[in-house]
Amino acid sequence: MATSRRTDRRTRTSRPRLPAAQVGTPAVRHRLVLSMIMVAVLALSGRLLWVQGLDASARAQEAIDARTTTRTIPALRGDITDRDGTVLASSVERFDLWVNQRQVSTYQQDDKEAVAAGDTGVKAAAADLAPVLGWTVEDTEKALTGDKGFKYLQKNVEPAVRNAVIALKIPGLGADRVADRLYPAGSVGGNVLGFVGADGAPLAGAELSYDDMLAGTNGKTTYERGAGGQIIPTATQSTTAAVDGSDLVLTLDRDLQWKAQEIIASTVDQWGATAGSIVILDAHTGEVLTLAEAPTYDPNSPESDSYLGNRTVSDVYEPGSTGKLFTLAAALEEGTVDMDSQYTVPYTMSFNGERIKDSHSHPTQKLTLAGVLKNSSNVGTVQISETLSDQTRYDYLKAFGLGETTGVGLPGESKGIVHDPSKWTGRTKYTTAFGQGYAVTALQMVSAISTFANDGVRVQPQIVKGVKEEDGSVRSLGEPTQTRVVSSETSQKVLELMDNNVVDDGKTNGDVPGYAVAAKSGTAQVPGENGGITYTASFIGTAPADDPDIVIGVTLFGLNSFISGTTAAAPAFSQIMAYTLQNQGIAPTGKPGRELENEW
Amino acid sequence: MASTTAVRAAAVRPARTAPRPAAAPRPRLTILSRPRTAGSPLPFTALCTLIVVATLATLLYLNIQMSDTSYEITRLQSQSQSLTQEKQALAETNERLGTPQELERQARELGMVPVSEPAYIDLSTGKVLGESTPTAGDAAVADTPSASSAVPPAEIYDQPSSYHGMGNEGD
Repeated sequence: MATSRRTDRRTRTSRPRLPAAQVGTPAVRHRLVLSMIMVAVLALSGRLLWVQGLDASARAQEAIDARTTTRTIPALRGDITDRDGTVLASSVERFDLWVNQRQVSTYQQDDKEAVAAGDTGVKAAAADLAPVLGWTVEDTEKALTGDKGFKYLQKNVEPAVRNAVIALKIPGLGADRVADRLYPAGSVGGNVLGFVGADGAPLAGAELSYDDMLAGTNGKTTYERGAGGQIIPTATQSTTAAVDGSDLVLTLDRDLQWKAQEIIASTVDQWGATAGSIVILDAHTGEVLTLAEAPTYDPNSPESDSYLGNRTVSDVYEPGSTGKLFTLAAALEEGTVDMDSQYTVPYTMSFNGERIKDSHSHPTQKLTLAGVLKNSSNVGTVQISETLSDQTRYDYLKAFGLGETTGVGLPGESKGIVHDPSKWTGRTKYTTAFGQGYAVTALQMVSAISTFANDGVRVQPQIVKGVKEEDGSVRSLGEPTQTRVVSSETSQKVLELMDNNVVDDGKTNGDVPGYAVAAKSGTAQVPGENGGITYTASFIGTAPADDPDIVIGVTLFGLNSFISGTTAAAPAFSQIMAYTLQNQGIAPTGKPGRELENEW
Repeated sequence: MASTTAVRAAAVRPARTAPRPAAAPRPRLTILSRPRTAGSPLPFTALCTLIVVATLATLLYLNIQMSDTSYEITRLQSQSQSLTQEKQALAETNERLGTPQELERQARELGMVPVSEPAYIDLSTGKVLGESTPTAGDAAVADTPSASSAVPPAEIYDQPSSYHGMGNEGD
C-alpha cells in the first residue's frame, strides 16, 4: 500500500495527464461484504422474529404438546361391606397381558450368550414365560406363536405376575392396567351384592341400585415430562383429583349370610326343591341381616351360574297358612273375635256354596282361636274371616305391606299381587283368609310378620345401613318408613298364638333349645308348567317369643309333592335361628313358651 | 527495485540536512506529585465475577436440585405404586383367609365343631342359662356335615397364583 502510494505520487509529479491506474476499491468491497452480512443477519433476524415473535405460540404449543402428557386418574369404585365393615366387594388393580406374536421371535437375539446357547426366539420365550404364568411350556409356546399383532394372553392377572412377566423383557409382550371387582367371599351374599360387567358397569343387585354412590369420578393429571418420563419441575402441572366412590355399608351380617346359605342349600337338596330362601330381619330396625338363596351365584364369575336373580324379592307365591296370621290379627284388632272365641270345625264346610277343606281329614273339632291357628284350620280361619268385611281384610293386607314393593333397595323387586276386593269372586273371597288368592314375595311376607315382633309397627326392610364417611362413621341414607298396622295388644296376642303354635319340647320341628319360639308354617300349591303342580313351603317365626328382635323366614320353592312347611322348612328355621341367636348374642330369657287352650 | 531506487534517489531530505531551527529555551523540569488514580479495579472485577459465578452456581445448584427432586418424585411414585400393589396383595390374602368358607375349613382341620347348645351366664344374677355339653370328638365331626360344597369358595382363588419369580422384579 505504502509502495503504491509512493508510486502514485511519483507518477503524478512526472506524468500528470495519464489516467489513474486501475487499483482496488476497498470501500466498495467493504460495503459489499457488509451488505451480505447485513442480508444474512436480516434473514436470520427475520426468521428469529418469525419463530420467536410472530409464530412463537404455535411453535411453543407444538413443543409443549410433544412433552405434555395427560394421565387419567381412575376413581376407585367404593367397597361394599357388611354391617361390621367386613369387605364383601372391593375394586383391585389387575392387568390384561397381551402379546404381539410377530415380535416374540426376536427374543434374546442380541444376547450373545443366549445366541450361543441357542436360547432365542419363541421357544426360549415360552420356556421363560411358562413358569411365571403357571402354564405348561407347550401351551405358552402355542399362545406366543402366530402372526397376530394383538392377542390377549391372560386377563386380570395380579400386579406381581405382571411385573414378573414384564421383567422378562420378551419383545411384543405388554400389559394394560384394568380395575377388577373382587368378591372375596364368593357366593356369600352374591344375590344381594350383584355384579359388574367386564367394563365395570353394574349389572345387578346393590351394585346396580346404589351405583350413584359406589361409582366415583375419574380425575386427571397433566404435566410435561422429560425423555426419561420424569416430571419437568418448572413446567406447568395441573391435577384434578379423582373422587373415589363411597363405601356402601350393607345391613347384612356375612357370617349369618354364609350360614344361612349353607343351610338353605342343603335343605333344598334334601327335599328336592328347585330353590329356597332364608330372610333374617331385625324387626325393630327393618335391617335385613340375611337374604340367602339357593341356588345362587358367585359374582366373581356370574357367567358360570344359571340363576343370576334375587327370587326372595322378585318371585311371588301364594303364602298359604302363614297368611292366616293376618286374618286373625285383623279380627283381633277389629274386636270381632277374642282369645276366648270358640269354633266348631268340621273337616269340610260350605260357605255360600264354596266348599272349604282343611289340609288333613279330621273329625269335627271344638277349637279355640289358638287351636284354629295351631291346627292351621282353613275352615276355622274362614269362620273368623266371616266376621270381617272383604274391604277390611283387604285394607289389613295392604297395611301389612302386601301388594306393594318393600323398597328394600334391590333391583327387580316385585309388588306381589293383591286384587281389589271387588274382584274377590267365588272362592277367592274365602281363600284369601288363609293365604291363597294373593301372592307375595318372601321378603314381603317376613316383613309383614315382623310387625308382630315390633309391637304392631311394620318397619320398612332395608338392605343398606348407609354410606361410610371419611371418619369411619356411617351416614344413614334415610330412615325407613314405619307403619302402625295393629295395636301393641293385638300384636302381643298374635305373638302368643304363634308361640302356642310351636311346642318347645326340644323335639318339635321349629323348636330352638332354650328359647321360646313363635312361628307359623305355610304351604301352598303352585300351578307349574305342563299342568303339573308344585308346592311352596315356608316357616316364618321369631325367638325369644316373649322379647323378640329377630324374625326369620325360610321358604322352599318348587317342591314336587305336598310337604308341609313344618316338615320341610322348620328344621332349617331351627338351625338358622339357633345360629342367629348365638351370632347376635341374644340370650334366652329363661321364660318358657306360652301354652294356650286349643280346644274347648 | 524501482521503489528502492526511488527512495535512494530522494536525496533531498530536507529534514535531515536542514539546520535545526534556533533552539527554544528548554522548559525546566519540575517534580510533580503522582496523579491520584481511582484505586485498583481488581476488587470490583472480582466482586462482579463473584456475583456472576455465585448466581450461576446457585442457579446450577437449584436446577440440579429440581431435577434431582423430579427424579426422586418419579422414583418414589414407582415405589409408592409397588407398595400399593403389595398392600393390595396382602389385603387380598387377608380377605381370602378371612372368608367364612376358609375359616370353617381351617377350624374343622383343627378339630373344632360348631357349638350346638350354648350356655349363657346372666351377669346380673350370675345364673347360667342353658346347658352346654362338650361335644364328643370325632362323632360330632361326622354329625355336622361340612357344607363346603353348598357355599364354595370364591372362584377368584382357583387360578394358579404361584409364580416362580424372585419377588424383586420390577420394570
